[in-house]
Amino acid sequence: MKISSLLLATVGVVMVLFVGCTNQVETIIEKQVPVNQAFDPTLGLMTFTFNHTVNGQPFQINKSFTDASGNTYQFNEIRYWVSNIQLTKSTGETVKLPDTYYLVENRDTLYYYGTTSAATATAKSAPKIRENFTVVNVPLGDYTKVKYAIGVDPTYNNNFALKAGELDVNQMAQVASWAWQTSYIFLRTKGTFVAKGADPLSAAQRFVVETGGNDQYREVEVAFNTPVSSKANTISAVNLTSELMGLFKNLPAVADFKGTKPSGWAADPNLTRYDKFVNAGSLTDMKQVADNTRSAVFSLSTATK
Amino acid sequence: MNVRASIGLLLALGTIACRPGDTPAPQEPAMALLAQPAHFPAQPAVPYNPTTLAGVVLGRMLFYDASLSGNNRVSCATCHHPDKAFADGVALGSGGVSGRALHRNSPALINLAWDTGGFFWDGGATNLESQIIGPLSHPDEMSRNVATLAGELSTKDAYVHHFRAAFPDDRESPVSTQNVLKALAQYMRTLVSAGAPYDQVVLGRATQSALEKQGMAVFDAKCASCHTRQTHLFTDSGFHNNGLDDTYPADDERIAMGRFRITEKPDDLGKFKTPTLRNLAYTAPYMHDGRFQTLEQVLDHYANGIRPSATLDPALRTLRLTGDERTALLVFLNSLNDQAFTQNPLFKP
Repeated sequence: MKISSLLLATVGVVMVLFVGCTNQVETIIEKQVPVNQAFDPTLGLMTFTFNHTVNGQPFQINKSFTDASGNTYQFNEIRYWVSNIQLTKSTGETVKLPDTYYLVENRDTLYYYGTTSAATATAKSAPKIRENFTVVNVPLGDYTKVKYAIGVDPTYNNNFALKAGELDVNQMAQVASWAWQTSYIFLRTKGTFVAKGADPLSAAQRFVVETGGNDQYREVEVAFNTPVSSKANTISAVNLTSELMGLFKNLPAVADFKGTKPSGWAADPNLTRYDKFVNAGSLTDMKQVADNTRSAVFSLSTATK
Repeated sequence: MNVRASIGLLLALGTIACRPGDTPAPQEPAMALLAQPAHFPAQPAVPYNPTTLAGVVLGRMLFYDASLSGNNRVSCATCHHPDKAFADGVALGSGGVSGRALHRNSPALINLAWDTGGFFWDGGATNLESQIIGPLSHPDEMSRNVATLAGELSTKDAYVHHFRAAFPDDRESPVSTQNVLKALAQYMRTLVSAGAPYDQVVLGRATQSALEKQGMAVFDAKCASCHTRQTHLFTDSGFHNNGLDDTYPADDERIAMGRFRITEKPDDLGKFKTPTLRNLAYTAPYMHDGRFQTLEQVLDHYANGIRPSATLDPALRTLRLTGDERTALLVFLNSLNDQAFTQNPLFKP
């Protein structure tokens, strides 16, 4: 990809962001390119793409997928923080890319908590797919593997007043079940589960799976089959597969999820229809999901120069 | 046009459009809010959010502003009222947007600048800034859609000027949720209570009565292991099981499990934050659920009502209080009441 087309995309986003000087919800959510970073054309750019799959099939919200045992899953959200990206050169040298915090998501409508005094209607954000991002100022070199975290490191996770990359407490505050314990939601997926042979109308189980808290921070390492070169003013690409069935590995059946539904949020449209939870109220299962993000979800699709 | 030039141009257009005409005049009397009591430990530094006069003034505006809530009727001060040492005087408040009763007693806000142990009764919030998101967004408290807060505040000129003055380094977007949290935390760190009769004694400006002295001796022997007197803060900022209950059911989001809910450590079952004992005359009812209306009931609990369980604080396993000791203790505790703290005009906008 030539730089010129990226420039256009960047300028378009910046216009949306700064007209009127207010951080409107949609502009925060839609932010695509790290406009706060000074862009140095003598360094490279690297686009990371997360191809979500369910049992090998391309992910779509509200589409039915069948797992290996014949159970049916439908998802309406997958959302997680990718952070602290590190690249390793063929020489073994490791390069940390500063302020790399990105929210990857493919989701249905997201409702905001609470109301706005200007309008009594519940605010919401339209369905959204954001499965790639471009890191700027990647030092030049040939890289053989990437390491990144799912979640947010303690320095930033312990303090909603700090900002880095795309980290923003407004993103956190849409999921208020974590407000009582300082943490971003590291990963969240929501959907409907129907066991094999069960009646999809009467026996559907609606689940919310979340991870958060410093102990759930996990680093993922993915090796490239051929080295990826970062060259000046050029975009290289790393395509990863993100297999959602991996999140459920070694978890109990959805019917046996033991997490707690936040009682104060009974009327919250994001949660009203859901009855099965993995969250801080079911620590063992939440740790398992976090472990799964390290070992059972991500793999290399392709990496190109 | 290269990319940096175009971003720079757009930034300039955006910021010029809403540059303020002037900044708020410094409010000199409020400078007194930044003073430190000589007999307290040094205030822990907050490198990511140093307290400034402009930040405190902005935080004070926000603290009393009901437009921060979802229905424009609830402010921080609704449940943290200055006349009550920033508590609310009821066991479980129901003054929030939903009108439903909360599960825990509104804590008084006293000398928080020295508290590094975590906030909420279970310490779930790691710092004052992050803590704010809880009450701000909870449907039973301020029920605020946080994502729209900065946009709404930036339509109000008075606020924009104060945000610019308080956060001059954030030229592009001084009005942000992060800066709301920072300003409110700066204000709360100025809620310093160090003017009780006890403090006059410590500073050598008054002498204790015989009964106060006797009460302080009882206190040092039987209370100070958690309610630290050495620092004059009367809390260790820690978490203890003081024997209120001996079972900790997991229902209601594990609210009765106390600190365990955050740490998942069996040792933390039923442990709650040690409150300061300053200003008790203004902060009844007592305990994390407000179950005791009077200090007599509190002392009854420590003298006769302790329920032992595995995590009960060791200091409470053998605690005994005679009638004379109780009388003297109450007189000493009364010397920790700082009336000026509840009437300080600088705490109000």
